[in-house]
Amino acid sequence: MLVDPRATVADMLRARGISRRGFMKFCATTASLMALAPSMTPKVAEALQKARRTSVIWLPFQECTGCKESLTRAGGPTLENLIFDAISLDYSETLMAAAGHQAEEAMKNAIRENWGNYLLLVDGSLPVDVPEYSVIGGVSNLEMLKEVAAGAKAVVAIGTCSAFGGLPAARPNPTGARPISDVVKDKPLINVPGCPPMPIAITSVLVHYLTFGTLPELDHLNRPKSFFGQTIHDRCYRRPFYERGQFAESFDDEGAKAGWCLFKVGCKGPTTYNGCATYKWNLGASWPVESGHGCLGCSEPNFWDWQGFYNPLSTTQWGGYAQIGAAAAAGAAAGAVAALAARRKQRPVGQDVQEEGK
Amino acid sequence: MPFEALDPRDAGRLEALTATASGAHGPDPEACESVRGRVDSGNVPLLLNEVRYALERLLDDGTTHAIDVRAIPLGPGEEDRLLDALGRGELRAEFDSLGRSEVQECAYPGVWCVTHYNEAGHVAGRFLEVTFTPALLASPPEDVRTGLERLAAELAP
Ligand code: SF4
Repeated sequence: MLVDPRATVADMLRARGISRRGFMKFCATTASLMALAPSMTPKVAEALQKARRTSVIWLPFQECTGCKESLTRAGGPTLENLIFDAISLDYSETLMAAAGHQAEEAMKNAIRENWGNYLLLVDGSLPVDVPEYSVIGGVSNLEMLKEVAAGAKAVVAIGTCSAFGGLPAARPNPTGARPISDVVKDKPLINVPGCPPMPIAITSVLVHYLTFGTLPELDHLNRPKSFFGQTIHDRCYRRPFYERGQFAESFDDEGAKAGWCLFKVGCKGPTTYNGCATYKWNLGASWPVESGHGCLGCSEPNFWDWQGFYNPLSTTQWGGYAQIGAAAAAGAAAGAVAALAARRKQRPVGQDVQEEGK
Repeated sequence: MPFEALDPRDAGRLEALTATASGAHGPDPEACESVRGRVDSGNVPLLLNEVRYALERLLDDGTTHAIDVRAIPLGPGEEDRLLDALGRGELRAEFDSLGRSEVQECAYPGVWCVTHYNEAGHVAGRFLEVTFTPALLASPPEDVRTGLERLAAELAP
């Protein structure tokens, strides 16, 4: 795919016959994607006027393609533009028409022509102990990552597998699956976890880079603060029930039917940093808690082995859930307690879960 | 209680939910809402108050304000309740670029609801603007220039 290095995003949209009004619509939804206030729309427009297309290479390692499914089914207004106009997706085995040698050639060309300037997206973890478990065209994922990352401007780990190891790293972790951060040490690295990540979380990083030419501000786990800055619990619409101590005790009791808090049936919202409660899934239709199931904590390290999905957090984490139940029933203070506990309980990437339980 | 609990005897609505959940037309919204309960996150009155103070500022010193509705955590049905509370005023405009967009004046003059749809017709962004005239209603100078060129070309002998 040839990239005209002089074409700006505004040029691309104009070439498609998009009016200035359409461009401003694009900017308004783009600002929203980046969790910026609507008052920032003119700034976004100004930046996108000058922004040049960016070459993107997307490598798939030990993954299930759920992350790409999430992005390509987003249906947002910016998606088609983002993929086809605003970025130049030079290599993505799953999304590109070319295959085999042609695909490999496309990647080599993109690397050569954009050395030092392309964004590298990776989904899936690395089988570090047994590299032969995952190879593309005879090249191990480990080797390929090292080669392609060397010329990248920045690396974006898409999904919990590439960010934290994910399901391939679940006990007994037969491949020795590890996150991208174990190998990429000398490049800016952004983690966009989630199993899968919310499409808006992926696109917000891309459009931020595209618009401002910089990477978004990150938290201690390298996640964009704009998106992963608050817990699910902080933004959950069921929070008033938590504060009043009104909990579903099982999935079919009266409390569950009435939409009460799902804490006692295993909701990990208090310790999970993600944007589902605000942006929701399937074009804003719903999200797990709204559909009656607690949050699994899929954007947190070790969520897969941490504890049972249906065990209340406090039974293993907060020292007895009668305590937290009482605190919740006592009123609003519990919210602050939960938030504090969540921050204290955030665990570093790769920390051994079994050890933690000791 | 700020919600209407599902009547457990109302098996019909539950059946409607189960029957439609896997169907081609998606779940029945009414059945879904009855299962989720009508929950009040408390954000609707907060947003309405924000709009009220923004209107005061608009009149005082002309400061405009905008709210990204989709960036506020709202419970099931709350976005509709917010829009119902704001009502519909006398002016509505539409344009089609990257999908349809609608600029609707609310029942309170100075408050506009701008909804952007994507090319598939789904809501891609919804903003409440507190302003005398939403910027999107004005003809952008770039488009005026292009239009003028076209007209001049039409009139050329
Ligand atoms: S525990 Fe879960 S369901 Fe309850 S308020 Fe927190 S995030 Fe929402």
